[in-house]
Amino acid sequence: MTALGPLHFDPMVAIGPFGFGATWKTIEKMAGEPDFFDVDDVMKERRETRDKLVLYYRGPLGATRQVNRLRCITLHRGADVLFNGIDLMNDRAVVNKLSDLDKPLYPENPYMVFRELGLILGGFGRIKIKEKKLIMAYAKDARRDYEEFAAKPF
Amino acid sequence: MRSEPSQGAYDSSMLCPSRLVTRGSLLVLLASCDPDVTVNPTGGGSTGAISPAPIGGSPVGGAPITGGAATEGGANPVGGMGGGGDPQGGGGEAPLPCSEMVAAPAPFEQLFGFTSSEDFVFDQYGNYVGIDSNGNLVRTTKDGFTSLWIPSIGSGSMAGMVALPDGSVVICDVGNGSLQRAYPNGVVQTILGGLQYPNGIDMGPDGYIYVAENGDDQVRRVHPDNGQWTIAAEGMIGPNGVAFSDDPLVFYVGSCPGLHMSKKDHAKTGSHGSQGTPGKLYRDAQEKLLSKKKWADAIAMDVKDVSKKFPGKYKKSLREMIDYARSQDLITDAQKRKLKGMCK
Repeated sequence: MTALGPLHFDPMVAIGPFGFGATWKTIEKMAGEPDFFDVDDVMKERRETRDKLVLYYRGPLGATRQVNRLRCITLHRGADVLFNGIDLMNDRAVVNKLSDLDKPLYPENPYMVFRELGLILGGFGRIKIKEKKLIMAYAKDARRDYEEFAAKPF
Repeated sequence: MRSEPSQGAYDSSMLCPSRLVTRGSLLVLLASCDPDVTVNPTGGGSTGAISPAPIGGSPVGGAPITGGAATEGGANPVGGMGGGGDPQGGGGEAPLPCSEMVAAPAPFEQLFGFTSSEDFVFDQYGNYVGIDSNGNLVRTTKDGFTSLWIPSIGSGSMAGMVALPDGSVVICDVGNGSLQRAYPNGVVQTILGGLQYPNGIDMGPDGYIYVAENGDDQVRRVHPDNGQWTIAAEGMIGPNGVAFSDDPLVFYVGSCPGLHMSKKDHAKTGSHGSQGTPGKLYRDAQEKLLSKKKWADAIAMDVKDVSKKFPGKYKKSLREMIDYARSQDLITDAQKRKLKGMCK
């Protein structure tokens, strides 16, 4: 496993070399092979694990055909991703600091949305999630899917 | 198997069109013969079948539940219910006999802002009571003012609610497999736990609560104060919804066939709550398909998921589920053949 980081987050554009909208082939050319990948015919997506990140190549939720474009990246514990000097996964004050930039939606839900930043923070509020903490960064054209996802608490 | 984050051994929701009716909105029927029977705008029945089950006979009336006065001589464990009460607004007009109702389809008005409550009731003041999108128990007045009753009640995953005459409501908490009773003063009491997917609830004329236990194919009769219970009916197929008829000795149970799985296997399915965020994404994706009436694609998700994880084990059940979907005109013959071809 290749350790990644620090990577810089550009809202709804990229995390480090992983640009939203790119195909997995393009990403592979730039960043090399992932640590692990699988293709899920149920969710119609390709998932790549790269250190503490998981990259999702897919179409809209509920798509019936696979679309090989990077749509979402999830950050897991230990991920080294920075935005405006904020260590997204490891800064204890991340919610407050991001809130200074963008008012979160659904702060009482398990997943809160920073709409203008294209970020969902899971497990950072009062209600915990199974993964304990997780951040989802998504492409601009995926906003609706993920905002709806966060709006429903369960 | 679009399931809530439950530990239920059984999930029938995918093939239950009634689940789809009130998602995101509330359909107000302007003419119906029985408020417990939902007219389903998707064209299918609200449940797969309805099974009458007698009460007062041996399945229910045998052993006393509490042994106390509550079960005897008409004494009522919640007091004064008499004929089952009318939680929907103070003893108004009796429902029309179905033979007198207007020709289908009944007209309806759609109200918005009801996003998460699979079931709801009206309290003694005529307020809507339901679960909001944050898992809170809320009240909404007739003029649309919503107030918080109880924050984050239970697991937030509810599948049935009944109002009791004392102003409390009892809720089927699917996520915790329990019955939660919420009192007007904000106190929440777990009446009974260990239920397998409680899915539909009503109060009988005897003052007891009757809960459809979808995962165990049975209906329990539960004392609303102390939670003591007996089996009121069993051997049903996916009970999903209970309602008393005008005959106090008969209640009806909706049957919503689905896929029977062991609890352990169910926890491994893509839609199960234990899958965490991927499970929620799975449910969201499937819900989007259902909302677009792409039934075959929604079913295909489960067929592929189950076939891949448990090859051979649930092939027969999956095929039965597909046959049922065809019988409800949810899928075409061609889709049926294709789906059956996916069953491994």
